[in-house]
Amino acid sequence: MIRNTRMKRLSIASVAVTVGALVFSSLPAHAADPGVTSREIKLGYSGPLTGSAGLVYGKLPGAMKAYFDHINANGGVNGRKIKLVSRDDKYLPTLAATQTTNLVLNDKVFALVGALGTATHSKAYTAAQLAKNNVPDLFVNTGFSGFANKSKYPTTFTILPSYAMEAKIMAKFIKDTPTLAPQASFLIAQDDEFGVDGVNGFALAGHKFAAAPTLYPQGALTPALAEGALTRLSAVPGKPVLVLFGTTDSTATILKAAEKLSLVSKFTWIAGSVGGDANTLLALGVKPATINGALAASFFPDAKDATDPYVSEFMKINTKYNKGVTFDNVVLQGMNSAMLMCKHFAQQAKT
Amino acid sequence: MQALRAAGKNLTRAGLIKAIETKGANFASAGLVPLNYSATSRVGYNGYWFGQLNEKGELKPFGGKLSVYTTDSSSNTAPTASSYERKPVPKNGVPTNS
Repeated sequence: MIRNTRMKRLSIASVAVTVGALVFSSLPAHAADPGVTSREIKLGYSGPLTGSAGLVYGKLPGAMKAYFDHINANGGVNGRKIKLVSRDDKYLPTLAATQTTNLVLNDKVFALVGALGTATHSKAYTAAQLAKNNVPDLFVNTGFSGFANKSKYPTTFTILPSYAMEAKIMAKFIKDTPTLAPQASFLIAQDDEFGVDGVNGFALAGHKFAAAPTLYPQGALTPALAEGALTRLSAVPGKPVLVLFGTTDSTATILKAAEKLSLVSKFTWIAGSVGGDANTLLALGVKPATINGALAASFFPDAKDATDPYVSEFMKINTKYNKGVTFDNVVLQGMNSAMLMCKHFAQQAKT
Repeated sequence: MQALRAAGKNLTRAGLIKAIETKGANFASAGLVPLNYSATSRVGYNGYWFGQLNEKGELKPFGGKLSVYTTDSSSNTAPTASSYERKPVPKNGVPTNS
């Protein structure tokens, strides 16, 4: 927007002055990109800091900032300190559009890092004109495979494996596991890009569910709906496999319904990586005995595994720069993305 | 100061995007599956392993052995077993420009 206005003024000026070339030649050949000086790189994050999604994911920018503080205390990246500006979008697409626009136009960040959410970020990408402004949109926290479309999202790089990949690998896991393969399997999924991406992945894998997927709108899975679905499925003989492809609060609603109906041991539970965060499930009141034995997919080490060298290094940083915050999968994810970011800066400065 | 100045000249939005496309797949990362960035791929991690939760909420590899599978988003080709090994964590968690 800013650049456009300036160009417009310049072209008016060039006509008026008639020696337009002189006006242009007074500008530097390559104007520096916003958000970067010899002493600082400014990055932006938009995601839920408050609200129900904020309870789960609100730690993410704090974890990134803690890592950047650690880097800054070690001299920054080639002498530049990293500054992170975080804005709360409450997991609402319209607000994400506003906040991301604010990051680009008002805060003048150099790049975005770790934006979270599929519906939120796809709306924000267009609204903030990230493509037109060539704003790097790095390590977006969604597995929506649509973001891989380079012509629509030319500056976006997602960090999570796609939900379609996850579904394909789940299908293979079920097929290859002798105790699961012969059982009837069912899918309960969020009815949006997220869940549908998963449904498509299972279809690509040729996986046959015993019934059409149970789809529910995001945030609309009530205890009554969950209890109804589980009661129906409990009539299926054997130990059916139940795949849950939704956010962690939905997984919690379903598991609590199973507790209420004494159906926990009736099913083999498989939770997707988004909805299988054990810390969050326990915090939402799911009983430890309920999650015991549940299956979940991951691409990270377990955040509770202090013997993992990355986890233990990040734990140290968390203790020092993120005081009072429990180290969990979200913190691990934030710090890992921040580390990749710094590596990119360091690498690029050399070339 | 020369290094700073050189970096200042080089750190651009376009350059950053290019750097991820060309080198992003090789950076040290905590993931147990590979990063998949390239000029044509914008998706980071491209695989999963399966685990089983215990009462403490710890996710342990299913069957006691870590099995990583990688795949893509759009083909009907089955996922393949991956022998990916992570790079060691950078000293103090601070990446260098090597």
